[in-house]
Order: sequence, then structure tokens, then C-alpha cells
Amino acid sequence: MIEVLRESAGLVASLDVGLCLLLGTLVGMVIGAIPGLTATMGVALLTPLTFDLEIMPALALLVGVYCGAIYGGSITAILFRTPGTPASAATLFDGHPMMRCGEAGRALSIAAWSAAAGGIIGTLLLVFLTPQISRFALSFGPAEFFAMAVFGLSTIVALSGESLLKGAVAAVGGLLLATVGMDPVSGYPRFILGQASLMEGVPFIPALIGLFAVAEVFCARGGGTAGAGAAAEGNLRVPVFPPAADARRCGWTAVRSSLLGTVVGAAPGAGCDIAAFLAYSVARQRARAGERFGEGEAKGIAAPEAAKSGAISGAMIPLLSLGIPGDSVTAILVGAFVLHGVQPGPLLFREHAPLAYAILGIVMLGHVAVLVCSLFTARLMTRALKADPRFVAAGILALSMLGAYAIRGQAADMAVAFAFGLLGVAMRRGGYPAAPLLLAMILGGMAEENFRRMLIVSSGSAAFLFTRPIAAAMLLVSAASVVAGLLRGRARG
Amino acid sequence: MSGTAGVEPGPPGAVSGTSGTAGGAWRLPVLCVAYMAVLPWLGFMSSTALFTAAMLGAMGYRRVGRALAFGLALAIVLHWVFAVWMQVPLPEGWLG
Repeated sequence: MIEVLRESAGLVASLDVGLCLLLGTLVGMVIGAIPGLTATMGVALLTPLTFDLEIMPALALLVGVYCGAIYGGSITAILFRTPGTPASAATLFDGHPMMRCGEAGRALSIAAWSAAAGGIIGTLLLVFLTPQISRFALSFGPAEFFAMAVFGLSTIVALSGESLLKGAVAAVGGLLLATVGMDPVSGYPRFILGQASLMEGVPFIPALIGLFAVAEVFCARGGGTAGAGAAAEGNLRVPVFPPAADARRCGWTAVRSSLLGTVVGAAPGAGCDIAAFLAYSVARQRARAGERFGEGEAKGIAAPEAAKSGAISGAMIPLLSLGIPGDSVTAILVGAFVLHGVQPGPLLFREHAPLAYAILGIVMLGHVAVLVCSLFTARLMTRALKADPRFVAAGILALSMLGAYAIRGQAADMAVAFAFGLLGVAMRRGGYPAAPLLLAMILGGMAEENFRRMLIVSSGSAAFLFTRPIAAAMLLVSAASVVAGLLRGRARG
Repeated sequence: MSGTAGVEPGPPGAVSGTSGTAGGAWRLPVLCVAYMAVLPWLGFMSSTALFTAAMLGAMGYRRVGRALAFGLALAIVLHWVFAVWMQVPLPEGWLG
């Protein structure tokens, strides 16, 4: 074992690998920060560029892009309420309010360290528990995915904040939006208004861009991005280490969210966005008195950040141990691995152990590279807050429209972003929370598709659900959490 | 547990912003609709530059030359990032 590790260290410790990792991370952060450019696109576009590289630098570049792109969206989510990637939308619920209180630096620092903690914990799990986790994750069938979606939806009680009714209205709206598009079983087109572009459902990224970025600019109008003026006078210095109080406060939340994120990421079909939203909801559900979630609570930044980088490592578990990708980015990574002569799967660890452990080392270093890059570029990013807010607002709106267009190259998606921008303005005016709507849009399709698949498998009997222990346990926990949330609400009200 | 995710009270500085007029709220949405209508016909570069400059104007920025220059610079950067680097085809129209 020692011999294997020494050999792996030799593969990782080279200047080329380090440079490629840093370069990949920086490129990834830019891609992640731009709405409309995703981690999947970045990795797919850079794969052909790695043809001429040795295998280790090539993998370092791609892993760097993956880690950087997943993190990069959070920077813009915190500073401009413009999530660059779906996963980073969960960070803005508390990250942006914290920035508006003049603590942009603190928010970025908490985000960067939580993401690094999540990634490192996830990679350690990957090293030591890969066989166990992959067995657990692969035991997920339609029943388990359905139960997971229900569990996620049950947290809406916690996400709703002041008015459970308004939260429920937003969630039902999200579920209705999730029914748009082709029926997952029969293929019948539903509510597509004659638009071919709605066949695959409401495009999620344009909707997200509209709901946050476009709505933010519309609401702020001549004032520029809301509160930017106050924030620019606040503390822009990004501390290298988060304040000790924050570290103590968020430590356990970050660890718990990393574990959650890793397991969710390992399940095929559930990626960073679901991990981040679930972790945020769980953190919020367990909030103690005095924690003001939605108004700049540090734990509300730590939980989704830790979970989504945990999910990156989690997605590597089935990829490396079984050759099965956990999400769309890892599906492209499989191709890149094969291109360089590595066949991911059970034989990788047995026959090419040094290489396998070197890849794990690169994943771990990728998260460290994100931490280093984010702390060094944070000053540059916060400087944008001092720019004329009108220019920032115009830039964000132009970029949002273009980003919505670019994701599929369809002009209709700009109209979706615009419509969701108006919806976002209306929801903010009426005091309707955005989180339940988004969560329902993410999970609605997953719940429906898996529920119906399960019914097909069990030839129409829902009792099948209770022969699957993991699914049954998740459903019981969801029921308990809804009841507990309602009771707590009644006790307070 | 207090507070509501994703909903914030209206920013205190919004009304006292540089445009400050009560009727300003509809300007940016109208510009967006105009942009979507013009984009396939005029092309990405020119319509984005005009759209950005018009937005600056709508928000009360009165230096026309600078606004146009900013719009053009933004359009060039975005064109480079999306079309050249990420190879996303952008509408060309008759002015590019």
C-alpha cells in the first residue's frame, strides 16, 4: 500500500499537473460564473484540447474545470444575486443578504472554506468507503428516488419562512411548472403551448436566470443592483480564514452537509444542484432559535457549498469504482478517461492502483485549488461592487438574456428567462419565497417519473414502496419532518 | 426560522436611485422585449450594444457616447466568450 501511494504521489507531484490544475480551475471559475455556461459545457469543450497532453496533466485540467465551474457560480450568486450554475442558487438565499449587510468578504470566505471542506471530506469518503457507498447508491431504484424527491419536497415547510401558505403556493406552482413538457412515460406533450422548445419541460437554467438575475435588475431599476452601494462601503476585505466564530458555528453543518452531498452525488441521476438544495433545506429545518435563515445566516452559506463540492467527489465514486457516471459532467469525464487509455471500473483499482489513487489525489487537490483561486480572485471580484451600479445592472441583464439563449441556442429560452423575471418580481412584491418554487421544479419531474416507473415495476401497487426499506425510511422521515414543522409553527403562532 | 428564503424587503435605496421616477419600472422589461424582437434580424453584436446602451439610458445615464462604447465593448467580450471560445452559434443578422 505504501509503495502504491508513493508511486501515486510521484504521478501527481509534477509542475505540469499543478499548472494544469490551477489553469483548469481558473477557466472553470469563469465558466461557472457566467450564467448559461455550465460545467458540462466546459469539460466537454476542453476535452479535445487535452489530446496532446500527458494523462495526468489532462485529467488535472478537466477535474480543475469541473471543480472550478461548480464553485464559480457561487461568487456571482453572493455578489450579484446571479447564480452562474443551478447548484449555486441555494447559496444566494443567505449569501446575498449577507453581502447586502456589507459583509461580502465574510460570505465569500465562508463559501470558499465550506466548499473546500465538503470536497476534502467527500474525497476522503471516496478513498475509504467507495465500495460501501457505491453499493448503497446503486441500490437506488425508482422507489428510492421517488422517496428522496418526497423528502426534498417535505422540507418546504422549513423553507417557507414566515408564511407556510405562501410557501405552499410557490411549491405547488413549481410542481405545476414541472409537469410542462413530454409525459415521462407515455410521451404525450403537456402544456407546451404549441412550442417545440417546451417539449423537454420548462428549461431550468433560463428559468433560474430569470427568477434571480433578471428579477433582481428589474426590481432595482435605476438603483443598480440592490444594496450594492451600502455593500461597497462595508467590509470588502476577504479574510483568508473565516472569523473563528463562523468556523465554530458552521463546522458541524459543513461536515453533515458534506456527507449528505457525497451520498446524493454518488446516486446516479442526482447531481450537485439537488445536493445543494437538500443540504440547505436540511440546515434550515434544523435551525435553532436566533438563527435568521434567509437574512444572511452563515450556516445557510456553509451547507449548500459543502454539499455541492461533496457531490463532485460523490459523483466520482460510481465513476471510478464501477465506470458508471453519476451526472452529465462525469459522463463526459468517462469519455475523457477512455481517450487517455484509462478504463474506469472495478479493474482500475486492482490493476492500476497507483493511477487510481493519483486520480483521487487530483480530485482532492482540485478542491484545494478552488480554495486558493477563490481567495486570491475574491478581491478582484468584490471590486466590481464599487463600479457604477447602472453599468453592473446593464451588464447583468445583457449577460442573462444571452446566457439563456446560449444554453440551447434557442431564442424561445430568452422569453422564458424574461417571463420568469416578471414572475420573480411579482413573487417578491407579494412576499412569496423563491426557494420552494425552485425546489419543486427540480424535484417535481424526478418524483413523477420515478413514481410512475415504480408503479410499472410493481404493476400498479403502491404497497411496493414499503418492501423497499430505504424508501420506506425516507418517506417516514419526510412525514415526521412535516408534522414536526407544523407543530413547531403552531406552537410559535 | 424567521425570514423567507429568496424574498427580501425592497431595497431602501431603490427609489432614490438616479432615475428615481415612479414610472421607471416598465422601461427595462420593455427594452428586453425589444431586444428579443430585434436580435434575430439585426444580429448579435449590434443589437446587444444598442440594448446595453439603451438600458444605461433608461437607468438615467446621460453620456450617450460612453454608454454606446460600453455596450460595444460588452458585446465584443460576450461574442468572444460565447461564439469564439465556447462555440455557441449567435444570431448574425445583417449587421452582425
